Amino acid sequence: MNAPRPMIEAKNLRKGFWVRTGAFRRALLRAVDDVSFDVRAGEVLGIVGESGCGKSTVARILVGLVRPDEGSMRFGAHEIAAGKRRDLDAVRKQAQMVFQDSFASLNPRLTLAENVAFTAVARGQSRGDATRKALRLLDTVGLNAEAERYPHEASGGQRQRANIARALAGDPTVLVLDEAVSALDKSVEAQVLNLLQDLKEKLGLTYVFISHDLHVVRYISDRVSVMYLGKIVETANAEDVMFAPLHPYTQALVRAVPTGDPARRILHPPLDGEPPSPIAVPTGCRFRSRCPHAQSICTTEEPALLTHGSRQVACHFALES
Amino acid sequence: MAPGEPSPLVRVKQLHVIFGGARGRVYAVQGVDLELAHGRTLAILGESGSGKSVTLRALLGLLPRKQTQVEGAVHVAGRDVLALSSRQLRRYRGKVASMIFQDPGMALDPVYKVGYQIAEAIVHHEGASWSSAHRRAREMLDRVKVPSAAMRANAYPHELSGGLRQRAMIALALACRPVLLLADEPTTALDPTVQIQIVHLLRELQKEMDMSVIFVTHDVGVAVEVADEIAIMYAGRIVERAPTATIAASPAHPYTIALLDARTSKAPKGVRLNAIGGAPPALDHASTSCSFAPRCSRVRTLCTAELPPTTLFATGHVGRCFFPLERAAQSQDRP
Repeated sequence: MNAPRPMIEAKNLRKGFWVRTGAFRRALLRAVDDVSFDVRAGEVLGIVGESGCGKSTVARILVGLVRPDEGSMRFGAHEIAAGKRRDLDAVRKQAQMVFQDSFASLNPRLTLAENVAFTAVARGQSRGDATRKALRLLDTVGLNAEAERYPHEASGGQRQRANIARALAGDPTVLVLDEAVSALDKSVEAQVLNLLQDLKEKLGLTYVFISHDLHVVRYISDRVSVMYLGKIVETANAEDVMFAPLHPYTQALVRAVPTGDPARRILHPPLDGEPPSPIAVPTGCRFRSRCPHAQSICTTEEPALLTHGSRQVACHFALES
Repeated sequence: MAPGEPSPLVRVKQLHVIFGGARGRVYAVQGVDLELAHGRTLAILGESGSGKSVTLRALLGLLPRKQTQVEGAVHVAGRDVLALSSRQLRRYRGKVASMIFQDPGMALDPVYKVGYQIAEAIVHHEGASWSSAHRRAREMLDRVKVPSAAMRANAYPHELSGGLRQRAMIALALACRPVLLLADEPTTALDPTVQIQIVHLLRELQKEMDMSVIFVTHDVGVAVEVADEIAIMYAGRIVERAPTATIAASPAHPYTIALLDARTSKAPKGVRLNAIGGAPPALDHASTSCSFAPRCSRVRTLCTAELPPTTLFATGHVGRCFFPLERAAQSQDRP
């Protein structure tokens, strides 16, 4: 094995949340249930899936905002899942996150420049250095004229640029982008995607890009993991996921996305119903309740995520289609 | 009130909507003309602040009366919507035109059961008995493919999943068989596999009930999926309108072209996207020249001096641009 060691190795991560289901009843929602993946230095790993599939919980585990209940995660030289406080702090220095809601992640009483400088000050820099750094970063993201504006005076696209600058102020090696462009208009989305690619090249960053938009993920990612109800069902090169998916769920997801071509309208919705609640997941394969190819083995046995060449699929019949 | 000539179901002429307020005025809609024939679907495509939702709200008489200036003419099925009294509007909404929203919370009352809310609309508009109204509510929920509809009719909105709430809202909107359905981004918050189910449901119901639909969206893919025709809005005006196939194959307005070019679905991995530089203009005054000129790659002196009128680019293809793309100009010459 000559392949370099991946930057992040996550193994068998599990995270559940107790949620209220009635006046005196609680149930365990298994948001992430036995998820393993690698992130290689310098790549863009895309994670797609529908609401409730656990993609945001994975993001939060990656930046140390949420501790997994089980499993291990190595980040560079640091073991963090079960690890010590010191290791967790080290990860928080290396990984930064950009959220979907650009307004909620900025302090409304600070200007954009002060918001960005805040991160640097929190990292122990002097106020003067932090301010200079903030202005330099705002210039990098194309906001030199807006530095003194308050968040409510900036547009959604400008706020999201400021959030990217804020994330960069901590000198991270990994940016976790959780639906970072989903709330933006399409013309602004394109600007921010271009910016992200420029920054990646310039600063040698690694991205984990989480989105429900398959087109955006295909465009920006090297590899893509598809999640369904707390599990990864398929990981492959971005083009393979979009143009030659192996898992029935991935196939349905791809076919559900409008093509933009009036000659190729979607004739039948590929799936009926909605994903089951993560509080009551089906036995065996989680996708079987909606899967058009489900057989009896799918009810009894949960398929493992197996490697086939360059890709991984969790389906009993992945190679038969 | 109905004119003698065979008129389109919807006719909007020179609609202007100006919101006033302490912070100054907002010229949200600046002269929209719109016609829609019976049984057709029009998608209004535009980005935030383009005026697409405000235009839709004007069609249902939903704009607030205080501090709002509405000018122009809005006729739907022979009614002058802007002249209707509140009492007349209550009869108009739901019976002639109905609206569905991105957030079903806008349409469903959290403290009443879903079935009751649908039955209430039927009793209000048709004077039906409560028992027959409840029966029809259950049938309607069944028709929009809510599983175990009879049971779900007894549920409160919060007890339903996002997709089911969306279906319940559609059932409520269509319970009295309106001739016009106004859809304001009804699939935007949904997951892709559910979004396409709702799009298909709306297409089926439209055929079955012989409705006209105006579908507002910011998603080109969804617009192409639902619409016979697409109108693109920018800064309060319709800048281009044509049959869906024409918009997809030969858009003529620089904004439409730029919007289609910025799509990630058409870009090879890693190649820079053709983003549109700059941002839409502030709407603090009615513009007297082309609003897109500051961001347009083909801008000329005329564009910054005069407002381009709505002109015919080709048969059935109109837009506001002095210099539309050549392709459209050529097809104009064809017989």
